[in-house]
Amino acid sequence: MLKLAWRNIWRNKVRSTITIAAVMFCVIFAVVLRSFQVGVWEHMVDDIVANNFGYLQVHQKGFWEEQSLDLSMDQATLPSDQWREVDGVRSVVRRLESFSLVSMDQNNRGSLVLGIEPQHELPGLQLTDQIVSGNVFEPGSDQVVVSEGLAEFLKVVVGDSLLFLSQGYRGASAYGQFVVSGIAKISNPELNKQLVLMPLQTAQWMYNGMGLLTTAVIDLEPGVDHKEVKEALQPMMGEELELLEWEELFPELIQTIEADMAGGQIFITILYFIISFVLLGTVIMMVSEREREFGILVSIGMRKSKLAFVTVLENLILTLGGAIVGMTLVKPLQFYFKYNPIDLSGQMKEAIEQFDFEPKLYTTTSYIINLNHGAIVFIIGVLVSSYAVWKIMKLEPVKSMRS
Amino acid sequence: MKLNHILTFLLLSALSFGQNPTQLLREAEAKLGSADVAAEVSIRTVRPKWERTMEAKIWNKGMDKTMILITGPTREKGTVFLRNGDEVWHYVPGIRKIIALPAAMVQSWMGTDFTNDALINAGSLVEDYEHKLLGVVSIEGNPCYQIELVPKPEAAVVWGKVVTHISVKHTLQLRTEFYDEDDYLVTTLLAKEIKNLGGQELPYKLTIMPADEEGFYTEMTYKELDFNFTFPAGFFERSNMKLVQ
Repeated sequence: MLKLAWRNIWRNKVRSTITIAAVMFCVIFAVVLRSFQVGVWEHMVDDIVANNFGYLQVHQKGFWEEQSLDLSMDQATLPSDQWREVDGVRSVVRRLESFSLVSMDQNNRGSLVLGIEPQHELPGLQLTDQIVSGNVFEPGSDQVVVSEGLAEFLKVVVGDSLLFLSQGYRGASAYGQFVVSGIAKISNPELNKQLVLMPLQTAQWMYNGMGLLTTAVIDLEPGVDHKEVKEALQPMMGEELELLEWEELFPELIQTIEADMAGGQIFITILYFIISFVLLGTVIMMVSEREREFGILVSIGMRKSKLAFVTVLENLILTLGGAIVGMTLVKPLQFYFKYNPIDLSGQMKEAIEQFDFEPKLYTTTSYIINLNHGAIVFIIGVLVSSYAVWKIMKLEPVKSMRS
Repeated sequence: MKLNHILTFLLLSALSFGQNPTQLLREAEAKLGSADVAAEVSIRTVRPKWERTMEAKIWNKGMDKTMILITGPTREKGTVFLRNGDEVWHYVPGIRKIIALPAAMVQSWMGTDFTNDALINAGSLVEDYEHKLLGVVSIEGNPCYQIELVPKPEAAVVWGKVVTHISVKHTLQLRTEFYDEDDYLVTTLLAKEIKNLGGQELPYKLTIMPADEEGFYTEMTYKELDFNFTFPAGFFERSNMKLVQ
């Protein structure tokens, strides 16, 4: 039987190639579409989480919700050495984060102020590759690094003085006049519009909170599952501290991703409708081309069910082949666009930047997508071959041979 | 006893009919809000885990001129807020700069429960709102006219509704409740300990309590009040902010 089906496939190479190609392109299309969608999010999460905010953060209980400096931690009594010993923890990054009005001449803007120690920071804030002009600040100095977007808005260049005005720890007033030592391009567009980085001690001085931290970022070894580390760290937190994973830190991000994915699902569903009809078209073509042949086979004594079985088998081999070829061929494409994202330009770029997304299209290289969509197209192939079965079962040999 | 109560209540209710709420408010406001006065105050901010006290001098002339100089603690010393008409300025001695503040300000003032708006840019309860006398109620044993204030459509105010209680005896606002646009109570201003201050019967303590924060309040205590202060020319000018003492 299998042999018969195999021979049939090779008998009409053109028809077989067309079917395989149809399936292949369907798979490639679906996978590429999905890869871009998943890839853009993967990149964004990676950027926000791995490079800037970390997978796990420790705060005083309630800080993340209220964003109030009054809920700060004392860096002297923080048991960070104990945390560092947990498997998968690379280091503990110390930060003081708050808001401030930043002004330069007549321009001012509410900004996010991060007091950091660049040499111990996550990759996105180490201020080595990010600086576009000037230099990183000296530890403990009256210098700040301003994000590119904010610098543009305030019209500041390296060497200018910025005024800071805010509210500090326990109701004290917070103010300062700091020199811009450098301008940094922060990959996350939202941060790039409002971030000011200053030495940790300078931020502590400005907010009247010497020795205080709002945030301890748990920096993980590459490839470690943050949920496992969280479980191991949780018992060390005690009553006062909260340990949050990125899904809890940025629930809006998860929601946006889910909403976008749902939109993508609708699009994919429409695509599958089209794919179904394309495949159905090839089956209809095949059946009508071979109607005469089927008629002869049935009249010389071949059982209809057997004939139908062979046809289905042929179809299975073809769609499976097409799906596998498609899944394989698309792989290099996925890898290419992951590392060479499509850079959007013009209106599209502006539109996307308004939503605080990086205007670049990345792909994911996850194999699951390929397998999923290959499988779906294969199943569709199987379903549409039932048309051939139905056609064969109601075949009238004499009529079909005359046509 | 009971009859007595009812009689008092009836009497006061009858009294309330004859009262014009706008006139009452104007009188109450004139007592402190729009008086020409120099005052020394201490401002205590209380939180469940800590508290903090600031010392300040306040000068006020009419409805639209206010100067506040912080005199303690050291970190804030010399900070000045000035309101002259529609303009509000903030002088920060640490950076020797005068900064213009936006007109509608609901942020916390110097880390207290007072908003910038309430303390510096109060606006006028008389001018910006429509008034309705609701009746007479008792606030800590003092019979008070209860007046509801709804902002006039064109008024640039931050509240959706204000309910104030003006004491029958002293014509002072003893309790004022501020509501947002959705009718939720945001904050309550209480006047307590009425004493003779600078020759007038006035509340010695003003307390502001945010409605949604348990254990949060700020208390402003008058240490000195001078109703005879003569303002030198140019007192409420920006140039005076760095000089005032």
